[in-house]
Amino acid sequence: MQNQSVKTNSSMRVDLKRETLPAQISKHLLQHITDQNMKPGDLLPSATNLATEFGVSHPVIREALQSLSALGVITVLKGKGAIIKSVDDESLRIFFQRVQQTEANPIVSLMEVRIPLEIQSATLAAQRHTHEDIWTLENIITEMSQSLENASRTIALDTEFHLAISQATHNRILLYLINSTRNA
Amino acid sequence: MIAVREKREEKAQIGEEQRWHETILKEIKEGSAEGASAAMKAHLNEVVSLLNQID
Repeated sequence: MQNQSVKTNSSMRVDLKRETLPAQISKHLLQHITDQNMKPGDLLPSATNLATEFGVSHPVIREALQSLSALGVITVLKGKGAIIKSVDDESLRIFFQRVQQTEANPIVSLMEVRIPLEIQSATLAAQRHTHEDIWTLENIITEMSQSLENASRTIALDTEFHLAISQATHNRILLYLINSTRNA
Repeated sequence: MIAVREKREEKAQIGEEQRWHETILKEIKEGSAEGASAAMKAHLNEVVSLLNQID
């Protein structure tokens, strides 16, 4: 593997290794999943086939698959292989949780991100809602009116209400973003 | 959002959250994108205002 030298301001020389083989292979596999329009539940080629195709050893493939698994892209099942996972907002939620640690006033900082998202959510919900969406929202409000003295239930219903609005947008990206910022 | 709830209790405004939700839902049901977004904006700005009052 080739190394690259970088000269820093302090004139120190730092050796940076190029991207590792497993990292390169996991990127190729991500591209393969997109190019082949693979859906949740689809199987990646077997580790043996991948090793042959990329001309690398099994441990390299195993490491590449482990990194895709850590990213939440696949699940590796013994005896079955690597299966494409459904998209969820877990990695986004972790991101928002971690980035809050760097903010002086994390709750307000997160609100500043949430406000434009939730305004757009309300806009789209008004344009795209179904009868079922309205039914869900009405039920939440009814339950909220019956739970006003129960602080923890009211807080949970508040979150449910805002998430139900984002469901009513029928835009999954917006739903994931709002869900992950609310649950961070 | 426990802090916001406590602030509402302190101000005797426990039902305020629900009133905002009713207003937002009314605008959504009527299909008013402008009304729904304005109501949501006002609601969340009020939450930020409460957060800023918390020490």
